[in-house]
Amino acid sequence: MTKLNQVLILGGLIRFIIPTLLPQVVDILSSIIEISTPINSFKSLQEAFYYLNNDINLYDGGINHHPPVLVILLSFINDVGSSFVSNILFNLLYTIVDLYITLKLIALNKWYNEQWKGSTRYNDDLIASFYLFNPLLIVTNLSHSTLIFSILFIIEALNQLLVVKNLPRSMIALSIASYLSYTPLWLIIPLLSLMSNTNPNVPKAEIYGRNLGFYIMGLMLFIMSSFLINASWQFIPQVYGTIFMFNKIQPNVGLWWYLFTEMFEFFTPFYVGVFNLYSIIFVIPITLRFTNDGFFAFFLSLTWLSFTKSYPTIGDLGYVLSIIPIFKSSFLQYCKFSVIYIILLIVCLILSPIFYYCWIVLGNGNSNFFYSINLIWGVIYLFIIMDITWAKLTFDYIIDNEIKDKKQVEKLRLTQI
Amino acid sequence: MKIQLNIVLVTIFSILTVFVRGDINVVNTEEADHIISKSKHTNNWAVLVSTSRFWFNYRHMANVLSLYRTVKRLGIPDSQIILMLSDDIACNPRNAFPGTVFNNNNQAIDVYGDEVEVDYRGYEVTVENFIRLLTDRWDPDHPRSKRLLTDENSNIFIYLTGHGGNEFLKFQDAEEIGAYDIADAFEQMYEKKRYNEIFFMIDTCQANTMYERLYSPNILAVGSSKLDESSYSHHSDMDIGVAVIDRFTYYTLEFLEKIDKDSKQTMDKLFNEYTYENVHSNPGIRYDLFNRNASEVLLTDFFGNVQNVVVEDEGEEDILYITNHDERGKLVQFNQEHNKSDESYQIDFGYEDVESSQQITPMTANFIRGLGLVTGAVVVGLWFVST
Repeated sequence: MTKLNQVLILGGLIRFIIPTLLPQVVDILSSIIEISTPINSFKSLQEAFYYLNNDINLYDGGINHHPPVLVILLSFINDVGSSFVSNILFNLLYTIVDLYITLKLIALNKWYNEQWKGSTRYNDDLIASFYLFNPLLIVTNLSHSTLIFSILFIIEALNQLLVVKNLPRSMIALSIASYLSYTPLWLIIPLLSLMSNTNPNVPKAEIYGRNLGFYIMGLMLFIMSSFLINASWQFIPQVYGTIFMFNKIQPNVGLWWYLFTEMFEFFTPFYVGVFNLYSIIFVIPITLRFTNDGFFAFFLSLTWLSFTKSYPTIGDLGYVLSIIPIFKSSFLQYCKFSVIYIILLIVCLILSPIFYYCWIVLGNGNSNFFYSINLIWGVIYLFIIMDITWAKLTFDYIIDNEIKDKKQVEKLRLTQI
Repeated sequence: MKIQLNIVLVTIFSILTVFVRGDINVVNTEEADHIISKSKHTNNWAVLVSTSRFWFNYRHMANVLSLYRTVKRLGIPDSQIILMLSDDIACNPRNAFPGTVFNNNNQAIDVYGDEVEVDYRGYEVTVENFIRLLTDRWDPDHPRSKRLLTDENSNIFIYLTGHGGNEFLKFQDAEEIGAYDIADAFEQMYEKKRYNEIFFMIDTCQANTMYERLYSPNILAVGSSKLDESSYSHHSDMDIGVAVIDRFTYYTLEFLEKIDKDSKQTMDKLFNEYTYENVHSNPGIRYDLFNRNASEVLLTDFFGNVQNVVVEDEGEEDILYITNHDERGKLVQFNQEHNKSDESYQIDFGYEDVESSQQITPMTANFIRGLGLVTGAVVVGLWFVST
């Protein structure tokens, strides 16, 4: 049994056995606000199943923010038998999804490091264990949050583009991901740039035009069928409008909620616009700056969008962290202060539930305690972005100036003009 | 052979279980007639008065508090109970069990406890307050919780206990109320339509004389002893040192302990408990002012607060089904359409876009599922078609 298979089996067993033996794990974890938000919580999905079975409009009541097709396709699993059987099937589904993502990550790792002629890439089993044994991701998976389906299709889009080299399929996958949650919509920009990087022979206009067309076609297919399914446009404000306009101001690991609870309603539209703009606007410069390494641009855009999301979870950081080891052969060696944000991560993970408990349950803390940890969580993202960007720029400099001498590399002191 | 017999029995039994109605609370209209009380009242009140004070009248406090507990247990809320006590027993320095009042020497129930709401305590228990309470003639600043806010659909249970005599009842060792006073108070209540029916129970010496002078209709009265007879206490508690309950109230409570909120027991069963062997006196019942037979009067008409709900015998029990389907079983949705032509000021509620369904046509679950499957199939098809 190869090491990879051992890792895969162990990771699958963790994700399958624990919720099967202890079904209350799912309920407890999906109530923890750091892990699941109102947008992607499993509980609201179960509520949506009930609405579906009882001929109630899925978006009556403002609880369900999942798109209709997801609710319908998952409701087939829910209606299989008794709740015991359907719970086991859900556990199986989430396990399979995670294992599939792992396998695709391994394939991406291989591709990326062949690109950079990397002999120093992490082994397959290490990449798999970075993903499968990441506690943030284990917890996100056990809470059955539907974030994982977006990530599945993002990774699948990358995989189809880079490994299988089937461009329309990657566009379909990305359109599924954006349909499921609004944020991957903006990843089309770095993905198109990556497409033109990996297919240098095809003229840019043709690549952009065709694939953008596929993407929009996929999106329109889903939106139209959701309109038919729901017999109204009500799903758009409920699914996407909630995320974009931040309609549900509930505490989470992100930075938006505190500011929106404190501000006057007169300013809310302005701030909604500014926050969304801040989230979106950096994707284009990142893509433009790192055209030579489209995969890095995609990853950095994904990190930025996770950082500035309206409803982030700890799983978002987990996914980002599990993709970082792919870059071992390119710039990971030049990351300077990873110890700092690892320690910050541990501090946040310990303090965040404590401060939430002090605030909500005991009542002797207030929201400032909890928000301070959210700010530190944002700082973790920022450190990651800074460190990785600087490492990438260093690596680019070394490649561009063809500095082969190791001693010279060590003496290198780069500054920004 | 044996196995076959078992199988046959099991199948017969399982077929029979189909006919077992689990929904025993659904009745049809004829059955409903038997269940619903004929009393035509819509709410129940209780006025419980202990007219004695001092330690040696422990049993009067225990009487009233036991009935208070009973009446609360059977459903009358505190807001509809007026409790008048001298309230000097529980914290009396002579009480060996401070903060408690027991009604039995087994000390099983502390009828004082934590949740007693006394409306008139101590020296507020006066004849004037009692009459004012019954007739509701107060100053405008008298608190509502201390008023008897009954209407013409109220059944009132009035219980008096203490030391009494020939047509009088002693209040707090300072004054007396006469039988004529109570009769006139009830007549005022009748004229002001402040009751549907009154059940008047009095446990004192020579109690029957107190109801002889009543002349208003719809009053059922019970007294514990007749003229020149004393009412006796039931037993004493050696640790407390005084008698803890009276006989008449003891047998009343013993009977009432057996009934619960939806009991269909009638008054005549209670009155059968009042024998000379039990209470050692001759209790009296006055029926002539009451237009119903004692065997038709439910105990819960006065002691409880029961309203029976009758479910229609036709129609679905599933509320979700009823709200979403019309009478013919067709799926309907409520469409909230804002009348845009109405240019006048429209109030825009924030929740309307989530609470009102804006569907163009109602969609059934299977159709939706079919559409979802079709979408999935189309996407999968596109996936495999694309190169």
